[in-house]
Amino acid sequence: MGHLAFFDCNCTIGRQSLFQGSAAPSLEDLKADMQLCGIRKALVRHSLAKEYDPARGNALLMEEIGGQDEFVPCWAALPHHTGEMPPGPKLVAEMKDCDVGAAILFPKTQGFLLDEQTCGPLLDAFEENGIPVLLEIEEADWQKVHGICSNHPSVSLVVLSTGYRCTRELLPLFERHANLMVDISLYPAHRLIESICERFGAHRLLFGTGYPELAPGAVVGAVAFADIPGAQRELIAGGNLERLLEGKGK
Amino acid sequence: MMSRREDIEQVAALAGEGRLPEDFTVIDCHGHMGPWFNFHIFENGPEGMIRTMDRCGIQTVCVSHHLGIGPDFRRGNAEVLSACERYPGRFIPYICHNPRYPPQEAICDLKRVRGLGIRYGLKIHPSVHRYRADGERYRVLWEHAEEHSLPILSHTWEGDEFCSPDMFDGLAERYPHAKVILGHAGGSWEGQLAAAEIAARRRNIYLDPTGSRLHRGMLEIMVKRIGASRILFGSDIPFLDPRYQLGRVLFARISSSQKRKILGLNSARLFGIRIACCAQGDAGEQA
Repeated sequence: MGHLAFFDCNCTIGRQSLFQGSAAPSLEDLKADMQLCGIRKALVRHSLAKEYDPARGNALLMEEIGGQDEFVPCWAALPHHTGEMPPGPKLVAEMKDCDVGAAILFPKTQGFLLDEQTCGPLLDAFEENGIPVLLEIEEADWQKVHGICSNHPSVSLVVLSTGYRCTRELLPLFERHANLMVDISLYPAHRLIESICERFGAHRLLFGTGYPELAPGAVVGAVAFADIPGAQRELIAGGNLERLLEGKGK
Repeated sequence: MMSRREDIEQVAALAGEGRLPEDFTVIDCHGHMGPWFNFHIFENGPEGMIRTMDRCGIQTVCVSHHLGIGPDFRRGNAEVLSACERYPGRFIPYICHNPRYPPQEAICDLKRVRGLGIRYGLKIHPSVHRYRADGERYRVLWEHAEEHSLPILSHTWEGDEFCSPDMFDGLAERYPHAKVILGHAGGSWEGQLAAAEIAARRRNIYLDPTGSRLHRGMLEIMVKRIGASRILFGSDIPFLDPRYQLGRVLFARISSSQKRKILGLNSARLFGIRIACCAQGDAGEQA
């Protein structure tokens, strides 16, 4: 097996309210960790885009990672109704101008409904423009995930930080929704990678680390030691995310 | 002589290719077996576990059955002993006891395992059985561990009224010959810091930072606090997949010597397991 091209879909920079650690990691610390673990690129969001203000956080993200090839920006998005962020088509245009790879929603933290009335137009814009949407499961629930996938069957939805107990909820959704994927940062279920690859295909799983909370080497180990053919391993390590960001979707 | 950085990068490079250094042996101090009631576990029997173990170089797992930490410890103990018999050298049994049942039942199972003349440990799950780890009804196990200088693994979690790490300070003092393994090492970030402090005070306490949330930097903090000789690789297999924990250790910013201890030498010493690839002296090496 050669070196895998790991591409992290679940990476956050910036200070957090509930920080845990010896010292807040800098961007240089992140790069050092990535280098050690063989992670070549990361889809990065800013903590302040979740915990403070999405627009300010997105702007800070662009300042802090600007021009660095190993980082692809991910913006937090809000529905347009309060005027804090523009309507979907305008937001998408701004994202394209800035080479933003994906959008992430934080409905529970940021106090908006993840339903068609509220988020439908926004999700329409992402769907029409091939922009992947990320969603931490703690910000929603699997019923809502089903709703998004049903109403927007062409949006590439990536559910993050699922926890290891979700398999009974997830598998029926995997059967029903071809546009649903999960990251494996917090899904250390026994032989999950082998089982999902066999039954649904490697394209359903994305490498993510949960940085800075979780040790990035853990997920690298899970992929590197997985009992799967090399081609599937490469997809999970980074190929799937590369395809998503090129707008190719499923 | 290799620098510390080169040492770390060398092991990491191999790990990134799904390989272990040749002189690394992995012994997992915290495993289970069988299904669990409230979520699905793929390939949860001994055969599925061995498939995973073989893929990532785990020689032996010390196991308590999910029945043992759950509703029927007698049946669970029997299942684990059966698996140990079918797959010699791959599993070491933990004998479980539910303190809500008479201690005579525990004594019966302990007599059985001693009669087999095999290596074993003891496991308690105060959180599932909702009974304090230092409660009177667990005394039968603690005294057995003390009498025979055995490892005794307990689920621990910060804030859990039945098994928070601080409870084990007094237990380790009361039973100085028992080898007290703090399963999950207190669990949360704060819990693991607290567990490390207790381990720094008590030489018969061992840290097993098994968990689904593998905190970045925590392993390095533990090694700095107590050294590497009382930290044990544990994965919760098949509750969880061991390759996450394996990756966490292999990529940690600690020396390869410290990784070897954590991954296998420490448990080999604790459970009396011979590791063929290592010199005899290594097993007793202090951090």
